[in-house]
Amino acid sequence: MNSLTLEQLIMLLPELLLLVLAVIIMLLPGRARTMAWLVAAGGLAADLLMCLSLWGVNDYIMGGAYAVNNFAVLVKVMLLGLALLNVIGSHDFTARVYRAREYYALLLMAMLGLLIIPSSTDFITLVVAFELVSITTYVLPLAELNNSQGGEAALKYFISGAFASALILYGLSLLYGFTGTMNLQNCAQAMAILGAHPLLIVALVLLLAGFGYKMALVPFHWWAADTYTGSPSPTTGFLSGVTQKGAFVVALKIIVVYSAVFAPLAALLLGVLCAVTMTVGNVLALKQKDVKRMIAYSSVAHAGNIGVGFVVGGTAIVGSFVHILAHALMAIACFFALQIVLERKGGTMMQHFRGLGKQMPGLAAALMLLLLSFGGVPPLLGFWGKMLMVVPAVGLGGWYLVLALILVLNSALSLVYYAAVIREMYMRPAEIELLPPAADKIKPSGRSYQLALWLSVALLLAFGLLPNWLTEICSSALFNSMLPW
Amino acid sequence: MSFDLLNILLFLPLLGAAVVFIGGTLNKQPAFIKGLALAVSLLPLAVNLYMLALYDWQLPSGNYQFFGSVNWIDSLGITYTVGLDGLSMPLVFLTSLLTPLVVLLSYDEHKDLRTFFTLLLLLECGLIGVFVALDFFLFYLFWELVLIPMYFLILGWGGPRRRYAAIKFFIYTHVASLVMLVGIFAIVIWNFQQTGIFTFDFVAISEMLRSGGVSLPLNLQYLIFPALFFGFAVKIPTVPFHTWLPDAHVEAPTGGSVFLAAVMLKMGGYGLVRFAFGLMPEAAVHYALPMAVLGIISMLWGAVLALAQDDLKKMIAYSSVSHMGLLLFGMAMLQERAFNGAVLQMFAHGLISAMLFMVCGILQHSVGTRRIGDLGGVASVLPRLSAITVFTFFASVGLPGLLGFIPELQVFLGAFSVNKLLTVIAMLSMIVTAAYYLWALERAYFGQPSADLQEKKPHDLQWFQTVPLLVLGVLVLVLGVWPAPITDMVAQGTGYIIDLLGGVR
Amino acid sequence: MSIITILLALPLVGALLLLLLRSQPQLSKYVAIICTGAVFIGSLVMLSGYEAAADGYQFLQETKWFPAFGVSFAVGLDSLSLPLFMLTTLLCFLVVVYSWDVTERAPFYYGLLLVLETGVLGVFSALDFFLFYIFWEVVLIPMFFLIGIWGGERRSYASMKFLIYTHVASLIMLLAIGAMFFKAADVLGYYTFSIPEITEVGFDLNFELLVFPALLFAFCVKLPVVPVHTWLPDAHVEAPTAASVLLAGVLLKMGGYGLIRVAYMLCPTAARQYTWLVVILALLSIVYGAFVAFKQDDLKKLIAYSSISHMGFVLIGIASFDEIGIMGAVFQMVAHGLISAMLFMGCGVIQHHAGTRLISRLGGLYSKMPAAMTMLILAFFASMGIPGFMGFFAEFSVMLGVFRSFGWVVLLVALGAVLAVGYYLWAFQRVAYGTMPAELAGCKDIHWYEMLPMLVLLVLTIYFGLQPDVLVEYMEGSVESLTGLSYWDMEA
Repeated sequence: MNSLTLEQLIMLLPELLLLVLAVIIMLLPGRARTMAWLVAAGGLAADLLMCLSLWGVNDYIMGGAYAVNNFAVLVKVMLLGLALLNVIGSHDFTARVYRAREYYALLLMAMLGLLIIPSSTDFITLVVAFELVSITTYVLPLAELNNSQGGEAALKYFISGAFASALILYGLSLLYGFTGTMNLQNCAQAMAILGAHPLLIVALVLLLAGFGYKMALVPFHWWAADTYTGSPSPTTGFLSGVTQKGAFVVALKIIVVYSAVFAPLAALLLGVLCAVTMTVGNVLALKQKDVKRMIAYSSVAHAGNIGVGFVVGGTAIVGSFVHILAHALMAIACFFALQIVLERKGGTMMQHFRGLGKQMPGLAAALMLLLLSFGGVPPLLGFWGKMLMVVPAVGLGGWYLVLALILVLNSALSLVYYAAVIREMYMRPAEIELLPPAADKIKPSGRSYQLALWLSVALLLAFGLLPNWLTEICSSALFNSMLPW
Repeated sequence: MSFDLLNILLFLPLLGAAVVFIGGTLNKQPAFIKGLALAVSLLPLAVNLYMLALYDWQLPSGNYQFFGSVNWIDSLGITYTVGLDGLSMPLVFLTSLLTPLVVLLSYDEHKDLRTFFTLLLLLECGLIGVFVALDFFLFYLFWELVLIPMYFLILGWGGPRRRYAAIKFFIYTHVASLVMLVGIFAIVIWNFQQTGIFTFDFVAISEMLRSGGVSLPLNLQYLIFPALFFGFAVKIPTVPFHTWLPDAHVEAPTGGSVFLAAVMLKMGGYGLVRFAFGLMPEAAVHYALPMAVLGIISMLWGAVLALAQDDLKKMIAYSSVSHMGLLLFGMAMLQERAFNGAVLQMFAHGLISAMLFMVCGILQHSVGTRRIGDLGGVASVLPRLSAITVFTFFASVGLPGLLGFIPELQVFLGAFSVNKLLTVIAMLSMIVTAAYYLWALERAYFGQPSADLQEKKPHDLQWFQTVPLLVLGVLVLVLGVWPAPITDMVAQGTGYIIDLLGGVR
Repeated sequence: MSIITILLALPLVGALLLLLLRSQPQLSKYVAIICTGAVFIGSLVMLSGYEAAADGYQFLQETKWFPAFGVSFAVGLDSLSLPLFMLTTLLCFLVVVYSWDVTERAPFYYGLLLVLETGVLGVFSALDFFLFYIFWEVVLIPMFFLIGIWGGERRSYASMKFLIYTHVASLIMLLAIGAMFFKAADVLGYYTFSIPEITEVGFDLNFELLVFPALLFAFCVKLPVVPVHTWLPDAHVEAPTAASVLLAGVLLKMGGYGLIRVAYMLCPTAARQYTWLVVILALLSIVYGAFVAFKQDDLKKLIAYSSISHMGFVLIGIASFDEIGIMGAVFQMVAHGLISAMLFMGCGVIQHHAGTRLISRLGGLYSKMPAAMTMLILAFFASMGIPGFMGFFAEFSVMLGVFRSFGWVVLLVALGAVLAVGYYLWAFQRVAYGTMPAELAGCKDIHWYEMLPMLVLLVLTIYFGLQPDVLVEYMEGSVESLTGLSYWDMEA
C-alpha cells in the first residue's frame, strides 16, 4: 500500500474534519446547546465547501481503495447539505435531549460513514462505512428525554439493522468466495469472465435484501414505520432524509457491479421490489390516522419511487438522484413541521391538524407545499424526480412502461392521503386549541424548526422552478465521472 | 325600398315589444300600457296595408316581392333572405291584422300587462318572420322563436293545467322541428355536393332545382320528405300528432288561443307547401295517397272528437284539427283547384278560428264557464254575443256566402275530379261539423237560461270585444261574397308549385 | 417578452399582493377585480393585435427552461386557443364581480381565483408539453381548495374526488406525453417537448393506436364523458358558485382543448380508427347526461348533468372529422363556457336568495324575483339551443357535421337537444311557477353584482348567436389544421 501524499490527504480532509469536529463537540460543556449547534452547523457547512472544492478531481487514493470523483463529490455534497439542514433545524430540539453535544457528535459520526460510502471502491470499505452509519444512528431514537416510544423505535431499528448486516455479510462472503476479490471493479470484471452463476444470484438476493432493509423496501420495511414514528421527529428526518439515502448509493454500486452480467435480472428483482414497495407503502399510509406514521409509510413508498430510476437506468438515474434530494428535503422539513405540530398541539393525529390553516397559517402553508411536493404536483421538486424517472421508462416501453404506470398510479394514490391532511388543515374547523409556545417548560421558540422548514421549502420551490441546474450537475456527475468506483 | 319595407314590417313588432316593455317598466298604469301596446301593434298593420297597396298582382308565380338578400353567416352560407309572394302575403296580413285585434280584445286583462303585450308583439315578429324567411336557417330561427312567447303566454296566463300544457306544446313542436332540421341538413348537403356551394338560401336552392333541370334524387327525396312532413304535420296538426293542440288551447288565454289557431297552425301548412312540395314534388306525388288518407282521418276524427266535447273551447280546438285535415287532403289531391282551396283554407280558417276563439273567450269571461253542460240559454242573456257566435259557427261550418265556404267548395270540386271515393268520405266530415256546431248552439245558446246564469247578469259584448269581432266578421263576409282578391293572390302564390307537381305527374 | 407572459404573470402578482394584504380582507376584492380586469383588458388589447388571417401561433415566446430535456417556456396562441383564452379572461373577471359579497377568508378566496386564472390561461397558451402539463396540474390545486373550503356540506368528499379523478387522468396523460416525447426524439434526433415540433413529426400508426386511448382517457375525464364523469356532479353540487362557473365554463374546456390540440392533432390516424369508440362515448354522454338531468332535484346537479350532455356535443363534433362539425365543437366550447356560466350564476342567485336549490322546495319564485327568473329562463333557452342564442349555432353546426359524417346518427344527437328542452322547462316551471313554499315569502330579487355579469354573458351569447362569424373567423385555422381542409374552401 502506498503512503499518502499531501495532495491525497487533502482529498480526505472532509472526512478528517468530521472526525475532528465530532471530537471537539464531545469536548464542549454539556449544557452549551447553542455552541454545539454553531460548531456542528458551521463544521458541516465548512465540510460542504471543502467537498465542493474537490469537484472536478478524479483520482484514487490509498491504493485505489478510495475514489474521489464527481460522483462521490455530488453524493457527499448532497448528504452534507441535507445533514446541515437537519442540524440547523435541530437547535430547538436539543433542548429536549440529554446532552446536545452527544446528539450532534452522533450525527457527525454518521455523516463520516456516509461520506465514505460514495468513495469506497471495495465492499469491505463500503460495509464498514455503512456499519458506522448504522451503529451511530441506532442510538439516535433514544436521544429525546421523556420519549416513551424511543426505546421501541431504537430496538426495532437495531434488530433489523443487525439482521440486515448479517445478510449483507453472508452475501459478501459468497461473492468473495466466488470472485476472489472484494474490489468492486475487479468483482465486476471477474463476473464478466466467469459468467452467470446461481450462487452469484443468491449473493445478489442477499445483498439486495440486506440493503433493502436499510432502504426500507417492502418486505424489509417492517421496522421503518415503528422506528420513524417512535423516534423524535428531527431524528426521523435524519434517518429517512439522510441515512436511508446512503443505502441507495450502496444499492446503486451493487447494481453497477452486477450490471455486466445480471443487468436484466438485477433490474427485474429491484423493479418488482420497488413496485411492491410503492404500492404497499401507499396503501398502508392511506389507512393511517397518525400523520407521522403516514409520512413514515410514505417514506417507504418513496423509497420504492427512488428505486425505479435505478431499475430503468440511463437518464432515469438522474431522476433517482433528483428524487433522493427532493424526498430528503421534503422528509426533513416535514418532520420538523410535525415536530412543531406536536409541540404546539400535543400530537400528530389527524385531529391535531384540523384548522391549522387558521391557527398557524405560515406553518400550514409550508406543510401544504411539502405535501403537494410529496404528491408530485408540479412545479415543486417532488414532481421533477418522478417525472425524470417516468419519462425514460415510458421511452423504453415493455415492462418498464408497466413500472412507470405503477409509479404514476401510486403517485395519484398518495395524493389521496396527502390531500386528506391538507383538507384537515384548511377545510375543517379547529378542535384543539394551540398550546402556548413554552407549554412543556423545556420549550424554546421553535424558530430553528421554522428556519429549516422554510429553507427546505425555498429549495424545493427554487429547484422546482429551475430544475435545469440540478439535473445538469447530476447528469454530469453521473455520466462523465462514473462509474462509481 | 320594398326590401326595406319588409324589414320594417318584420322588425317593427320587435321594436314595439321593446317599447312596450320599457314603457311598461317606466309607467305601470294599465291604461297607459294598453294604449301603448295598441298603438305599437297598429304600426305593422299600417305598413302591411301600405305593402298591400304596392303589391304587384301581375307578377308571374314563383317570384318574390319585397325581396332582398344579404349575406349573414358566411361561414355556413347562411343568408338573410326575405320576400313575399301570394303564398305568404295572406298569412302575413293575417298576423299583422290579428295582433292589434288581440291587443284590443285583451283590454280587460289584468295580470302583468307589460309582459303580456311584450310577448304578443314578440309572437307577431316571430310569425311574420316564419312567413317571410326565404333562408332555411332564418326560417328555422323564427320557427323556434315563435315557441317562446307562446310558451310563456300559456304558462303565465293559462288555465289550471297550464304547466302541463305549456311543456307539452313546447316539446311536441320542438321534436318536430329538430326532425325537420335534419331534413333541411340533407337538402343543404345535397345542394353542396351538386353545386359546390354551401348555402342555406332557399331561393338559391330552389332556383338551382327549377332551372338547372336537376332534382333531388328520388331515394333522398323519399327520406327527406317524411322528415319535413313530420316537422310540419305536428304543427298543422294532423292526427296522430295532434294531441298537444287541445291541451294547449284549453289552457291558453284567449289571445294565445287566437294566435295559436289562426296563425301558428298555418306555419305547418305554409312550410309544407313552400318547402316540402316546392322542393320535392316527386316525393309529394309519391306520398300523396298516405297524406290524403291522413288528411281525411284528421277531418273525420277531429270532427267526431269535437262532437264528443263538453268544453266549448276544446270543441273548437278539435274543429281546428278537422279543418286543418281539409288542408292536407286538398294538397294531397295534387289538383290545381283543390290545392288552391287548401291554401286558401289557411287564410279562411285563420280569420274564422280567430273569431271562434274570441267568442268562446268572451263567453268564458262574462259567464265564467265554457262547459256546454253548465250553459244553456245564453242567447237570451247575451243576445249580441250569441248573434255573432251563430255567424261565426256558420262561417266555420261553411255556409255559402261566407269565406269558409269557398275553400271547401274548391277542395271538394277539385278532389272530386281526382278521386271520387276519397272525396265522398271526406265530405262526411262536413255533416259531422254541421252537427257539432248546431248541437252546441242548441244546448249552450238556446233554450231556457239557467237560474244561475240569470242571476249573474253577465256583461254582453263590450266595445273592445265588438270591434275585433266586427272587423273579422266583415272580412269573412266581404271575402265570402267577393273572393277574387284572395283567390287571385293564392293562385299567384301556388301556380309554380302546381306546375312542378303537374310536371311530375 | 410576449404579452401572453405578462397576462400569465399578472394574476400571480395579484395573488402575491393579496398575500401581503391578508390583514385587510376588505381590500382583497378590489385587488382581484383590478387584477382580473387588467388581464381582461390586456387580453382585449392582445386580441386587437391578433391577425385572424395569419396561420400558426402568434405572440410567440420561447425561453429555454430545462434544455437537457428540451423543455422551454413556450407560449403562443392560435385560432383554437385564442377564443378559449379570451373566454377565460372574461369569465374570471365576471366571476370576481359576481363574488362581490364573499367575506369568508376573502384574501385566500380571491387569491385562489387568481392562481386558477393563471393556470387555465397557461394551459390554453402553453406550446410546450411540459409547461402544458404543469399548468394543467396547477389548475387542480386552487379548485380543490375552492370546493373544499367554500363548498357545501359534502365538500371535503367532493374536493377529494375531484382532485383524485383529475389527477389520475393527468398522470395518464403524462405517460402518453412521455411516450410521444421519446418517439419524437427518435425521429428528430434531439429532445424537445415543443408541441408544434412534436406535432410536425407524424407518428406511425401502431404507436398512435397505443397513445391515443391514453390521451382520450385523460381528456375525457376532464371533459367529462360518461362513464368517467362522476366527479363532476359532486364537484358542482358542493362547489361555491364562482368555482362552479369556472369549473363548467373553463375547466371542462381544457378537456376539449386537449383532445383537439393533443389527441387529435398528434394521432390523427388513430383518431380516425377509434371514431366508433369516440362516437359511442359521445352519444352515451349526450343521451345519458340528459336523461339523468331529468331526475335531478338539485337544480345545480341538473345543470351539471346538462353540462355532461353538452360536452358530448363537443366530443361528437370533433369525432365527426368534418369541417363544420369541428368548427361547431370549438364553437360549442365557447358557447357552453358563456352559457354554463350564466346557468350556474342563475342557480347561485336562487341558492343565495331562496336558501336552497332543491327544486322540490322551490316554487312560485317568479312572483318574488322576476328579474332573476327571467335571466334563468333566458340562460335555459340559450343552453337548450333555441335559435338566436349561441348554443343553437353550436349545436346546429355539430349536428350538420355529424349528419355529413354519420348520417342519421344525428337523430340521437337531436334527442339530447330535445331532452334538454324537457328537463329545463320542467325544472323552470317547478321553480318559477306553482305554489310557493311559505319559507320563501321573504325572497329578494337578484343583486346588481349578480345581474351585471349575467347580463354581459347574455348579451354576448345573443350577439355571437346572431353573428357567429365574428367568432368563427378566429377558429378557421384550427379546423383547417385538423381536417386538412379549409373551412372556407367549401365556398370556393
